[in-house]
Amino acid sequence: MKPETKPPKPDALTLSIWEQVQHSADLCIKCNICTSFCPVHNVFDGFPGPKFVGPQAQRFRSPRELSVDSSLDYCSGCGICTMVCPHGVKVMEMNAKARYKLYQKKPVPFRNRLLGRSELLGMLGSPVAAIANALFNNGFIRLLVEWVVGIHRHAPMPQFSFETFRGWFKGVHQKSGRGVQSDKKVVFFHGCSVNYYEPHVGKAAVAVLEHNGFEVLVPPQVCCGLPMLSNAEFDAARKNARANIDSLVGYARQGYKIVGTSTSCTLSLKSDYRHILDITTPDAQLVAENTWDISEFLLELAEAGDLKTDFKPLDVTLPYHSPCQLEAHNMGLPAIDLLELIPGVKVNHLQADCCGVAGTYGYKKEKYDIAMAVGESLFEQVRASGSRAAVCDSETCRWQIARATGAAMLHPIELLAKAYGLPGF
Amino acid sequence: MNKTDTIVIGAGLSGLMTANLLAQANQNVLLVAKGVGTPVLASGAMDVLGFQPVDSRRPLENPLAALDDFLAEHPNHPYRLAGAEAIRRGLAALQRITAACELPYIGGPEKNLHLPTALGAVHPAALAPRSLAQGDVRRGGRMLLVGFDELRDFYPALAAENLNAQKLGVRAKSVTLPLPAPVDGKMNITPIELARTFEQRAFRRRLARVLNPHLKGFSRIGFPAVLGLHHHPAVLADLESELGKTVFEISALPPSVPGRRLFEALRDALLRAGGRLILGGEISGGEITAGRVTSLHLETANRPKLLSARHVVLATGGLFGGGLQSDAAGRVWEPIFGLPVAAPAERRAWFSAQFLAPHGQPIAGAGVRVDARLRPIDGEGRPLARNLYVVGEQLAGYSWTAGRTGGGVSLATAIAAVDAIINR
Amino acid sequence: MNRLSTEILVIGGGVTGCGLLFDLAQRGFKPMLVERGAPANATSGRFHGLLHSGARYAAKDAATARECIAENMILRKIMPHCIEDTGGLFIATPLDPSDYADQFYAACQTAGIPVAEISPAEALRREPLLTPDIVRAFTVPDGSVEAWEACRTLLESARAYGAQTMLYHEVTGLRLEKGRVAGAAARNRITGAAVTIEADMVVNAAGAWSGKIAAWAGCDVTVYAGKGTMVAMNYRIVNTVINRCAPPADGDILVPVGTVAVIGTTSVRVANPDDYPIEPWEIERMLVRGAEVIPSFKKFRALRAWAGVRPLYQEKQAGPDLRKVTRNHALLDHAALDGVENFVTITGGKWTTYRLMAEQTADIVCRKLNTHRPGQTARTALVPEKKRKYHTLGARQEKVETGQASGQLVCECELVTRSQIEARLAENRRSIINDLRRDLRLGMGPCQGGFCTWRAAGILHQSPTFSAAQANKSLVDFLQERWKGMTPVLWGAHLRQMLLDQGIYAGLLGLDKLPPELSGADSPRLAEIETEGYFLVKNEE
Repeated sequence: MKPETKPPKPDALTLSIWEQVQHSADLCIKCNICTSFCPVHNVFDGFPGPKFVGPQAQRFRSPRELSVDSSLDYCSGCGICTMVCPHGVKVMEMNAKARYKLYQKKPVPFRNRLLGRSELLGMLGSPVAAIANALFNNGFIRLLVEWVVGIHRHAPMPQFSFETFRGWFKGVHQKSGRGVQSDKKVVFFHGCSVNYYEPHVGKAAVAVLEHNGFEVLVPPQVCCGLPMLSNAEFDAARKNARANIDSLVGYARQGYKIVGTSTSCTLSLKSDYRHILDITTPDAQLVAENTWDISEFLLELAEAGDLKTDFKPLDVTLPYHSPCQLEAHNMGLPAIDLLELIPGVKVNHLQADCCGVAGTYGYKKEKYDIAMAVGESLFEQVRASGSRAAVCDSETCRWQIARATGAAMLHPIELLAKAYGLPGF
Repeated sequence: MNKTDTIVIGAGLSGLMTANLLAQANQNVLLVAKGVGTPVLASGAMDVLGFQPVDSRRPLENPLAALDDFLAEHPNHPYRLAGAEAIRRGLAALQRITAACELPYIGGPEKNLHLPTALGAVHPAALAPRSLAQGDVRRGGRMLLVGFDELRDFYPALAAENLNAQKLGVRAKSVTLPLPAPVDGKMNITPIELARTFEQRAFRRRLARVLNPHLKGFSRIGFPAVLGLHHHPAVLADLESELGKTVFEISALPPSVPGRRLFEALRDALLRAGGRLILGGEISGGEITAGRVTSLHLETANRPKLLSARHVVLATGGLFGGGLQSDAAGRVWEPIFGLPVAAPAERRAWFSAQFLAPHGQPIAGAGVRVDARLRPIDGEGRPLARNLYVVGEQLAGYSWTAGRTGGGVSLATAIAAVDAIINR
Repeated sequence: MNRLSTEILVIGGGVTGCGLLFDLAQRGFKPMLVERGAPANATSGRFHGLLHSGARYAAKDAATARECIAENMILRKIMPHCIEDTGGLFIATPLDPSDYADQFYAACQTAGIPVAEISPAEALRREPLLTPDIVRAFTVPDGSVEAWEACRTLLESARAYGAQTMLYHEVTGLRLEKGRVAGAAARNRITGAAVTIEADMVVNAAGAWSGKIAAWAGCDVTVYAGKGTMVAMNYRIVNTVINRCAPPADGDILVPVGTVAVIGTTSVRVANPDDYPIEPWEIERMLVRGAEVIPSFKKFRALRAWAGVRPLYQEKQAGPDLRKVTRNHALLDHAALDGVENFVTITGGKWTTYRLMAEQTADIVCRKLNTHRPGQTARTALVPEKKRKYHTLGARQEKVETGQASGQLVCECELVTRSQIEARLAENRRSIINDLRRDLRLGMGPCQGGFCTWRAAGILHQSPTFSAAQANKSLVDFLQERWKGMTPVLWGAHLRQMLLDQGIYAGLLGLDKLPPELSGADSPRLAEIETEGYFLVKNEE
């Protein structure tokens, strides 16, 4: 053994992003850590596991042949496999691409197309919110929907909001002159859930940002495309991705940060556009680099000493579920540190893999039971906590947990708005 | 804001232990890891020293008693830096932490357990969870090894024949059965899936009914290590009372269920002690300025994020764990700081002619050389950074296969690093 | 001593011998094949798997090129299940002589090889990892072959006509009677038992070993053993055969075969066809040459390296450059050449033209036996009509997904099921793990036996033939055999793989700590047993 005095540098040659994902199968040593941690495989034998449908099946996939691996469709896309893999295999990303290929052989079912179009649903449902909600809350109608469309009757349908977030922001908020004007500007990416179902989360974000002296900009935007992506509609997802990149890149160029309250929307902007949809333009890169999860953004302010700390104490211990789509940001869990800045707040970080819903996965008739089985350990912990409320950053997880446990589910930003004592919270 | 006291990089045994001990000492600890570490692949038992001389095939009785002889032959082994006391304290710390997580580890540094492997060889380990420890071949008597048609990783007839042929004082027989419902016929069931099935009481009842006719005359019943995942203690206790016998587990291929139990116990203990964890985040680089690590680059989903702390512990593993990288030109490097790595100079000297070489493959001994406080050193023996420590598999001077010292090194060097950080 | 007799004895179970056995059997003879190991155990199973279009030879050797394209088209018809229709590309990079491309194109046309020029952009669209510096690109009908499957099919078809096979039997001498060859002596390499085989005619198809066989009859056949080293990449980094549009050189062919891509070869004359270690420079040369075509080549994981020995026949003394020795085959009637009757040698040639070589040999045999039986192998499909389609990459995966290959997956990398293994054991109860590898591809994937070898040993032990010690021994042998092929390419991800495999076999199973009498660690390998020592049968005799 002779010690090297000067460390040699690795090959300068790097692979393109496309190659990194496509060929990260090359790094797999079949250790099965991903199989061990896959929440779906853990409860459902029909899914042979991420290693099997990922790097292993990848060896049998040829660009010239149609896909043969239908078991892949049971992957929920939660991304835990990529997270736990110590060898750098992009298992989830690989599977998402393979799913796209799977559906080149057969048409994407109408049900999946429908679930992929959260925006269209919102646009249709929101103006007639009262009627739409009544319909969706009707057991018989849901049975009919399950039977005809294939959306499970007990799947956690969100409630349409009559007032959309954009409507409120452009109308009530800006016209009333309450909006803050400032040199410090941030761009808010609201996503479909805030716009059509949970405008209050968006309002809380605007209130907290303005309270900290930011002017909030809400440029034109469409659904981030993740629901389409995870239902194998890459072409439609790419169209949305490009529209968002085009709309946002100008702000990024001016140095404005893009923040979002939906962890899956921000993950799409940060990563999926490039790593799954293969949009590798400099614009896509710029938008990605300038995207922040809202808690991440606020915590960084706090670390720099720039976050207002005029919190009212809230004497509460809150169960918190860290969604898979947030863990995949690979930045830790900023919501926990942020919330614990509020005097009296204790966060009880629940140790559970996944709530099971994984976007639109748990809505599907044939996957509902799997999704509920995946989430069971989490639901148990929420129930055992005895708390009437719980916190989670991701909307579909909130709906799933609320439906399964009856707990009132909050986005961290709502608590922050409350602690600041902002009007309306 | 709470400033981070120590960042530990790596979620293997040494990283998790270091982070736990620092968090218990009221440090603000952040553990960052690219993925889940090696414990989930390993047997779950702790090897301190299994064979001395290392090419012997006779399992050691007392690892600490043989330590001096071992060190005389392996003068650069990390045990030299950590010392016997750190081994003792490391084992005790693991026992304390796991006991608090209802996963008690049995044994100690002065008496190896002689655990049967799935092949029927003997695996000497200083500590093991109760379920593995109860398989110790020196307890003698007659044991029945139970396998299942559906589980492709465990062949009890082979294990039994090999055990008996070695005349270890234990008599083994085997039975291989189809699994009862609800997993009957699932021919590709994985150990994790089966472990979760064992958590169902009704399943255990059905299994006990099928097994009962085979149990007569046996004092102990051995299973593959699938006796529950999150509710393992209850599963083990219940199965023992259902069968009316001592029950033990044998680890087989990865993913290892005992390994995952240990990983989760250590992870949960860390979070309970106030530590934070970023899993899936790769540290791609770091700066050393004026003899101190000043920042680390965390690769998040979209941009590198700078992290800093008073101390940094490298627990990134060796060539297996990814803490060292290698290429076709025969270069071996440490990717975060570019620390000097001691490795055989040419690739043709990396390997022995035998796959199962008694001294391990020469390349497996590659690693970073450190001073007495586990700080990486330059060619002249001077520390490269005052606040950087290396623990576990990344250390130079040993290969776990030679003598089987992996667990002991991870635990003892975690103790030594924590001492260096806290007593500074 | 065991005495057997046959009409025609074929020595050597490479693809030529297997093809010849089938041809002779189809012509109504009762032939027997003797092979010292498993079929396609040596050169025929140790090449890069290329089904030549002939384009590689067009510029230099038009006759060979014509033979190749004709045979290529025939094999596609008679054994499509062993062929993947990958197509081939010849690409010229700035490193290649600029005048070669036109010459190449013209030569292919002359030889009747369907060749077409495509734009560099189109080549890149088809194979995105290729260097963007491509100057010119041509398509040709190259393909890849599943060599073991092909030989197995030939032997099965031959047996159906009544041919006999003696595998794991090594010829130890020829029987000479009054200036004619009358048979051979052989030894069972598993049991050690001696056998004599009487034959009316003996055909020496022993490849690089044919000189040694011929010498026993006092005939001088000069066959050089030309070592060619290949590296299999873990992954199909290309889906088309990639050739350099340049005169033949080291590492100029990259073949997607099965789940891997194989780059080859070097060409080095070796003295002993049984001993030809791979040199580090050969690996380096392959990587460098690979990177000339695919710039990210070295980023990918090399899975295994192996070498084969080409039988290169030369009438006169060959110079040092083996690439200048003809790759044509030689068919030698020793009656005319050496005055030894009933003895024919067929050697040289290439995998793609095995059928033609077999046919020409069988023609000579007929002539010598004064019988007129025309060959039909060019028109005889070797598989039933419903199976008569090209092999595809996804085929194995599809079988598992659709439940056609159901049951327990033992080798997950190559998708080998327990029932396949049990079927092999039922056919040959002495199949060791290495046989399972050749028959089923067990242990040939990225983990190189890390998981499946253990499972295979467990399954072997459940059959009555194997004691624990024998199962252990087969396990140790197989891991050691994999080790030999892995060490030349162990770095990066593959080194991690090896360390995991060590963790499994040493750390988890303790295979290295079993007493030697149980693990057989100090005994010779099962397939190389000299006497009736090791392979004791558990429950019989």
